[in-house]
Amino acid sequence: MIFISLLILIVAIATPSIRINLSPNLFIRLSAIIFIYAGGISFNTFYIHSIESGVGIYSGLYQVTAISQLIDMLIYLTGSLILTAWPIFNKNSTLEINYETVNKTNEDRIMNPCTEYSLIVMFSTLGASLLISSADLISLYLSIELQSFGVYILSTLYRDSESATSAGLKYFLLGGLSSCLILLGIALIYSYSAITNFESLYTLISVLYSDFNNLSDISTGIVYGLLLILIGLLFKIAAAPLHNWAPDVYDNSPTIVTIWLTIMPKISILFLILEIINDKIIEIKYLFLISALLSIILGTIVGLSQIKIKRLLAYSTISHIGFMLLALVINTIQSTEAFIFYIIQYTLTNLNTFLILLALGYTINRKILLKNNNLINSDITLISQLKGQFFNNPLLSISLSICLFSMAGVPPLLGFFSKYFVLYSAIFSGYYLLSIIAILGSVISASYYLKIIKILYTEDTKESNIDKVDNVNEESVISNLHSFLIASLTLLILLFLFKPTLILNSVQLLSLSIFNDC
Amino acid sequence: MITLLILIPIIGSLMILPLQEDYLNNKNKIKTIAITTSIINFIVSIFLWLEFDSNTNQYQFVTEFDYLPIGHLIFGVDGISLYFVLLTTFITPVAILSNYNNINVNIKYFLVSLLILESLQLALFLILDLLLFYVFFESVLPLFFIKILVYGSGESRDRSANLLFLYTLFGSLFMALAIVQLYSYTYTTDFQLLSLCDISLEGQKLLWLAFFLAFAIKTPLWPFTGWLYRAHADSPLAGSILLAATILKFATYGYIRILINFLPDATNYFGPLVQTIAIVTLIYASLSTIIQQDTKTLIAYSSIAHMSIVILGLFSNNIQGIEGAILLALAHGFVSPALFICVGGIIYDRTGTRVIKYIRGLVTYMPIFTILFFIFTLCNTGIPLSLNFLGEQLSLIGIWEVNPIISALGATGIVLSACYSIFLYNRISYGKYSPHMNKVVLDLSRREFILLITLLIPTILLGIFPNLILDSIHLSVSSLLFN
Repeated sequence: MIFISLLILIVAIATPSIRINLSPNLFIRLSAIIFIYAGGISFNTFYIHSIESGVGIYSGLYQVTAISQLIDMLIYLTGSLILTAWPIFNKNSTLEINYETVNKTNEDRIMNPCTEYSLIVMFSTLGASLLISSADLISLYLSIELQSFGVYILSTLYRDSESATSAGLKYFLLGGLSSCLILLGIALIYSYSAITNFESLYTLISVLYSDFNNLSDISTGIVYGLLLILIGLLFKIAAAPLHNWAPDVYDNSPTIVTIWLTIMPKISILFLILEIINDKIIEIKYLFLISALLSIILGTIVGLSQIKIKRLLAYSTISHIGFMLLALVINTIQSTEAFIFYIIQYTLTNLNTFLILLALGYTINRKILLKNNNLINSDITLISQLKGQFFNNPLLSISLSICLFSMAGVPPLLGFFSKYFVLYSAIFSGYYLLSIIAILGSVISASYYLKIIKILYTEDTKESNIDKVDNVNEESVISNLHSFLIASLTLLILLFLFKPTLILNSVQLLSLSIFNDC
Repeated sequence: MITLLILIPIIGSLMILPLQEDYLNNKNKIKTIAITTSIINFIVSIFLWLEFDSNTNQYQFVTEFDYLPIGHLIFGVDGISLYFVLLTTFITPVAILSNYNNINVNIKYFLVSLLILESLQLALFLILDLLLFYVFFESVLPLFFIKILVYGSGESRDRSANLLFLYTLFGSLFMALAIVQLYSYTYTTDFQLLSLCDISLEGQKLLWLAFFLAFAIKTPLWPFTGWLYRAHADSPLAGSILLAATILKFATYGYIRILINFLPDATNYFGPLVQTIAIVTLIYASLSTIIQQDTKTLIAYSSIAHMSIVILGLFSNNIQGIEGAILLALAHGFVSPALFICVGGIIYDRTGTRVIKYIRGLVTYMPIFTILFFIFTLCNTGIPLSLNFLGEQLSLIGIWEVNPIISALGATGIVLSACYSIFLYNRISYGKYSPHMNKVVLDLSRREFILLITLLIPTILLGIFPNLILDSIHLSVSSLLFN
């Protein structure tokens, strides 16, 4: 079934080159629909019984399991949701492109990327979905590169913007470095054991570690190789000691790209780690513990001093990553459940936050948007730009504060339950110190979320009057779809308490299926 | 009945939401809907009280919604929670009425948040599940945070809102850890099952400390008093009323329901610690009350002092002490809002200041106000015939049986409270009419008079007939005792 979805993707990628005059708006909607369709297909596969234990395809290079299917679905759906944030620009830009295709002015080049965006997004998503189901070191590397290159290009999509270009370059160089590490690790493992397949690697490790007194060279080679691979992966998800690139890149690239950067690569790589991680090798466990600890501490403390909103959210992402790594390390059924739940929660909340930021950006900088069609200028960069928004856009700011409260882990919201499950599994397995640090971390991080919320609700008397006049005159700049999306995600976060069975049950089934395999 | 109690405010807020507040007409409609809903809810809670069977210590009116997998949603009421529920439903209309005229912008969201707060508070007192207790305990925070930020009056309201949020979040996350740990011991979070479980003393101690930290911050006890007076000083009047009357009672309720009920051994073990902290808080708060310049801060500190007497009563492990503590908590829930209305509402609306120095000689223009203010001041100091007197007396009697010295130290609180209350009253009411105020101030309006009288009646009435309350809590309280 996954072939079909891949096929559709490839066909879709091919189309832009054939019909370049098609409006970018259409492309984006088209690719969103394709994503939804692919998600539907992968959900359908979930019902095929033989797939439960995993089916190898492409001569064992990839393995399709229940979990990979469901995560595929998650990725596709998120992808389609992110794409919907676009249409508003294209409403304006389509006109110009249609009329001025012949002589491309300087302005047009800014909008041009819209056509390429969906294409690159699809490449990167393809990489992500392959990554999850890869069962071989080589296919792992290839799909990671496919995914990463898409993302590198995305962040440099706006060539005219200096900051975006520098962000993209930084991301590319450092990402390339981490890819090198991964490749080195793979080479090490191959040179010591001549194995690239995951299954045989597991078997080899369990044979080697069955006798602790007799650890040979092979095992050290494999351990170092795995460590290198995992360090590379940690680099890609911006876990703490290797997080330095993340705030710069997130801050400098336009918000629409930032959504993609903060969500998609992380989902796929974290699930990859979930499949790779192995209890028996103690070094890996320590690596993850240290990384989780540092992520939580750094993400919370450094975030305190940020004044740019996307930098701040980048640090909050780092501390979330810390929580997820903590859940990964514990490696029990409960913790896996907590991990999957956390990742779903993280995706939803983060997606919603960025969508709201985009919408706020559209409304606040409406004039710039209409005048120049300039995407980057309409982004919100400083937290102080949000000042007093409660009085202009009460519903948007209420939903933003719901999201932020949820990230801070205030109870009836989705974010609390995910943190609760992680702590629950941590305490059950006896990680008391870590869980206390995690709790302190989340209190400290609450203070920077509060900073944003506080600014949202403090009135700025000078500007608010002017804006109110504007509100009456101009139509809403947020598209229907966009606002509908924000509303439904916010309600999902808010009312999770009343109908949690859907997410919880599927999460539980998934974690059970992982442990049945082992 | 209980479902109705929780749903009515939510229905009311849903009715308010679609209305636009552009026109005066609609604004009035919004206010009317809000106040009617809260009064209807109060009437419903009165029926709950009438139908309450005081001859059993079981949970009554138990309503269960069993489709929730995370700790099931189960509501019920017993003698302990009954009066907190009544207090909540009673105080919400008062809070709505208190800010009836002086909030004009965004009143819709203000009232909606008040009604939702009422639902959350009721849910907190009625819930019979530990995890959801925690959820409701915390869920009040964001609403309150935003309320202080948007509608607060003080210059430094950012800081106080921040402190309120972070202090409480800090404490209650430890409570979350403790709940997880408790669950790992007992595999249940249901109140009825938890009270049957037996946990070893060693296990109880850690749990107790974590829970105590959360509640001590909420009470607040000595090292954690920093947030309360700031929050009081900067929040709108309705916020102060709710904070004093019900939100501080979360902690009282938590002590009774969780610490005394589920962790009796550790409570017994840590008894002296709590008594010491409570005495320190009492004397510290009383002394710092005397030097306050801001009237609202002064009353905030005095409520810290009263809450520490409540704590003394609660941890005395005999029936007089615990019942006295509950009475005092209720009395504080009537008198403290009344004082806040006096200084933060009535005087502040007329003079625009809360600094004691600037207010003087109100008796010339406001005789009725001065009389009512005098009565409430006396009630605050615990004069006989008031509910406060009974509460303080019973609490101190209770603690006397445990430790006479503690009781004697606790009794100094009464003297000190007389000092600062009379001081405040004296400065504000008498002397030459202050030149800093308007030339003429009007006496109480009908709204303000009704507000104060509604709060006065239960204080005096229950002070004379405390058996109205005590009859229905005897059984529940006696089942709490540790032997």
